[in-house]
Formats: sequence, C-alpha cells, structure tokens
Amino acid sequence: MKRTDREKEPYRVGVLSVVKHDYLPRAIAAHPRFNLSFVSDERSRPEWTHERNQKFADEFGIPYIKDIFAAIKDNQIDAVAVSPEAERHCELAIIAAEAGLHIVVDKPLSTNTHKCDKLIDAVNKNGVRCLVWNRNYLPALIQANQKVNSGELGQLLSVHCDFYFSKDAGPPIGSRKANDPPIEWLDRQLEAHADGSDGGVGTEPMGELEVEGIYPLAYIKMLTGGAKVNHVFARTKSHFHQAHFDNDVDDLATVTLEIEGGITGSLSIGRIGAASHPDIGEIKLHIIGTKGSAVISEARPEVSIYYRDQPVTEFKNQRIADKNNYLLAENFARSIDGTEKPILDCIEARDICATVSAAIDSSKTGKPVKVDNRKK
Amino acid sequence: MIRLAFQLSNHQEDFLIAASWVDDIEVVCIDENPDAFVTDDADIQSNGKPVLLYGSSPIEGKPLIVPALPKRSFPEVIALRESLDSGNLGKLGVMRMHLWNQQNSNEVQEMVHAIDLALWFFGTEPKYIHGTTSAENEVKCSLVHLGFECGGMALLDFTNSLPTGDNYESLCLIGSKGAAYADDHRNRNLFFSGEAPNAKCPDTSMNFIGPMLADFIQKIKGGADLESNLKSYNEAFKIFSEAG
Repeated sequence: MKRTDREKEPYRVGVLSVVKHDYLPRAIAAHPRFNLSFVSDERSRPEWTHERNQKFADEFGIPYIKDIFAAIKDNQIDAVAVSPEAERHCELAIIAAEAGLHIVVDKPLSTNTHKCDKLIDAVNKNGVRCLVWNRNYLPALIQANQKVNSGELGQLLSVHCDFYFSKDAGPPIGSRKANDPPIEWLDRQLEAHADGSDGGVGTEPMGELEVEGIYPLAYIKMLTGGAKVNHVFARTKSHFHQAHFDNDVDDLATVTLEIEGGITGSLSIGRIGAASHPDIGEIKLHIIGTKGSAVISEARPEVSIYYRDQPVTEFKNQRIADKNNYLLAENFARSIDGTEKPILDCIEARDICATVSAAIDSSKTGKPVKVDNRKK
Repeated sequence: MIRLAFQLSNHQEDFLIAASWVDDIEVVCIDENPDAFVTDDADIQSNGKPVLLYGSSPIEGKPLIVPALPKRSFPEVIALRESLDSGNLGKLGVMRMHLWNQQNSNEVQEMVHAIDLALWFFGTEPKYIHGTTSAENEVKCSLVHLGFECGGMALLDFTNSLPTGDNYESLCLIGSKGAAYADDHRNRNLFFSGEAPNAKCPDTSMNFIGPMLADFIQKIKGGADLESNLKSYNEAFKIFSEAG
C-alpha cells in the first residue's frame, strides 16, 4: 500500500457537476491530500442536476455555484473532479484544462474520439494532469499486474476478459406493449440513480460497451503495458433490457482484439440482469504467456455472508480489502506532484474510446475494423 | 442389448469401465461379430457396422462413421444444456469458452468440438465467423468468434500453452433470463505440501464417456440418423477452417 505525503498542503478541488455517481468526488474528499472547495455546474442545466449538485454540496458543507467559469475564477483551486452526465465529461474537463487545472474525470471519457482529442490537446497545451476513473487498483488487478510484470508468465500472448455486471436496467426486453411509447433514455437513467446503475446518465443513449467497456479494456491496457488495440471484430445486441432495445444500444457484446506486439485478446461484456449472478457479476481475466498463465477473479478477496431473512438484493459475497478509490486518489495526488503517471490518462482512455467505437462499427458491418488510435 | 467392441489406443480401460455402467451394452471382442465399434482408428474395418470414432478425424466417404462429440457429454455441459432446455436461462445470448491445453494437444479436435458445442447450444449455423491467433515458438493462442442470425454470439479461445499437468476449461452461457457458469477455477480444492498450495479439481475428466456411449447406443437402437454427428462435425470443421 502506498502511503501519501501528509506533510504537504492538500490540493484544493472543485467538483464540476456530481449528477451521475458521487463515488468519484467522495473518493477525492476522503483522501488526505485533497480538500473539496465547491460544487459547480451551469445554470442552464435541468432542475434534477441542480438538486443532485446541491445535495452533495450541502453534505460536504461547501457552496454550490451555478456558473462554472465564475466558480473557477473566484476560487483558488488546483484541480477539478468531473462527474457530470457521461456525454459532458470532455466538455467540462476541457474548461478545467484551459484554466490550468488538473483533472480527475469519471468514466467513460467519451463516446466520441474528437471530443477526447480536444481534451488531450488542452491538457498538453496547459501542462496539466488528467486521470480517468477506473478499477485498475482492485486487489486482484494489482496481483495480476504484478504477475505479468514479474516476468513469471513470460511474454504475453493473449488476454481475455469476461465482464458481466448482474444488474437490471428497467423492464425486460419484450415487456413493452404495442401502444406503449419507447422508453426515454434519460427517464430510465434518472430512475436508476437510486441503485447506482445510472452509469450512462444523460440524453445520449449509451450501450454497455460504451459505458462500462473502459473498465475491462483498461485492465487489458495495463496488463499489456499500454499496448494499443489495432483491429477489432465484434458482435453486439440488446438482449436483456427494453430501454437498451428502444434506444438501439447494446447490453451484451463480444469483441475480438488484435493488439500491438502480436497479442490477441477478447472481451465479453454485458449488463446481464440481477438474477444472473449472486453478486455484482462474473468478472474474470484469463492471461496467457509463453511461460505461464493465470485465471484471475476480479472480485477476490471476498467473504461470504448468509443469514436468515437476508434481503434478496444483498450480495452474499462481499469484496474486502478494496482500496481502489483511495489508490486512485493517491495516484492523482502523485500525478499532480509530478512523481507518478496517471494509471489511466486521457490518451489511453481516448484510445479505449476508439476501440469501443471500432467495435460498434464492426458489429454493424459484420467485418473486422481498424481502430483509429491517436497518432503520436 | 447392443454388442459393442472397443479398440482404442488410449483410455481403453476407462471406456470399458464406463460401458459397464450403461444398460443395453454388452462388451464383446472385436472378432465376436459386434453390432458396433468404438475406436480411435479412423480406418477400422467395420463391415458396415456403426463406428463411434473418438479422438480422430473421420475419413471422408466412409459410411456409418459416427464422430464422437465428447464435449456434449461432459457433466457440466449436460447440466448447462438441461438448464437452457428448461427455459430457466431464457434466450441464449453468449456462449463463452476458455480451453487451455498442453502442447501435445490436438487444437483442431478441441476447437472443432468447441465450435460444435456452440452450434448445438444455439441450434443454428453462424452468420458471422472471425478468427485470430497469436503464437511464439510452440505456444499458440487461437480465438474463434461467431455471430448468429438471432444476435447470439460465441467466443471460444484455445491455447496449448499449459505445462504438463491439468488442463483448464471454463464454459459460460449468458441467457436473457439467467446465466450458467461451469468453471474449473471455482471447482478447485487446495492441497498443501509446502510453498504455494496445489489447486486441483476432483477428476471428472473421463465422466463424459458413459453419456457419450449411451447416446451412441440410443442412436443405434432407435434407428436415429447416424449421419447427424458427421454432419455436425463437418459443419464445425468447416467453420474452424473458415476462421483460419
């Protein structure tokens, strides 16, 4: 476990919108190297966003300022935590970068590589650091990465990730009656906020590959030492949820990955329904090297707890020793210090966005697609 | 009662033990005019009798050859198939399989049988076929990715990278109403004898033989289409070849 330098003055952080999950600004607030200064968003945002922003600000005893430019101008801050609707991640991060502020931004970075490129240009121009939220510090991922880096497995040949979230997402597919209107994406996401399954909140419908694909693809990126995916072949489908079907986005996908250095890989991902797993879902890595192989369960270590009258929605297996959020915040602090690189920076997240886009294209054409990685 | 003769270069004893548990099988010698044969010799003289061919590729044009499709008879596969057939899993969306073997393994047989399993579960031929490989010296990793007209998909990866010892398999079915996971990872017990423990599965590797023989016998007795296995094998082989 890395220990932070508590002697240093904490960095002051502005929260730019906290309408999706609040785990990101909470993780930053919980770390001794950071203090939250304010929450801000644009006045023109819909009322529900103001309600969520205000609620978070009140809990932390900080002001909610309905003008991002004014908030940045009037407060001495070092960094921002960006957690708006997924479609606004780059837009708000760019404002921060242009103001010379370091950025920690929620996933996915974007569904659009052009938006990512604008952010990268702004980050480079202003010399700031940008960390994109991920799960690469989960204990099992740390173990997997250590195994690969130790050379025990030899040269990496293949990495496969199964990433199934056993969450529901509204009514099951086929449940809409003939005269019912299609489900509005935003309405469904607002409804999902209570159970935290609103990763794709916003007006832009996003499939599971777009919302969650960054997690397994960031695992693969880390384990391959940052290697780029060159080509993909993919199949996608709305298989479970009416909201995904009505909005023409996937909730189930399989992707073949052809990666730099002759490495092959694959991803099978889905929001497969709460009934399909006793816990959050089956998430595994299969890693093959020339000297050894590994099967990694992302959930481990965990404990199993069963008791009379246990709520059916409660996971029977609980993850333990999960310091992912703390270590991400630590990584962000060290990135700002200049002593460490962000574990997932905006260039890597941009190339993951390109991989996802190529996979969706491949699914439409039925053919392999070249990934439009950022040119060096 | 079907009089069955066994001629196998490997696992003969395992087959004989399994046969002793199957009703309707009488084991006879090869020269006792059996009703059918079980062999790994694709060129066996069968005198027009049905032949269950295990572990070898069938020779084209030879009649009444029934290529074994052993993966369909694995205990975990039977359980998954029953769950799917019962409707508990709903409509099948993904079949995911990881197949890790040793260097002396037969990639073609393993992958053809895995592809057959996918076609068997989905009950149809794929519309989209894609394959890719990575290799270093003798170690090879291959991946076959199938897309079906119904939108279902199968992702099958194989490697021969494991050292001498156990193989590893993981099979997962993701359906619209439920999912089923058959995974050697979760079935391992720990054995401590110094340093890191050994993790071993209870040995069920030969448990497929009984159900496979029972299916063969049923086909003969019921006058079923003895060509169906060959058609399935050939279809899977064609897809494997197309995936490159």
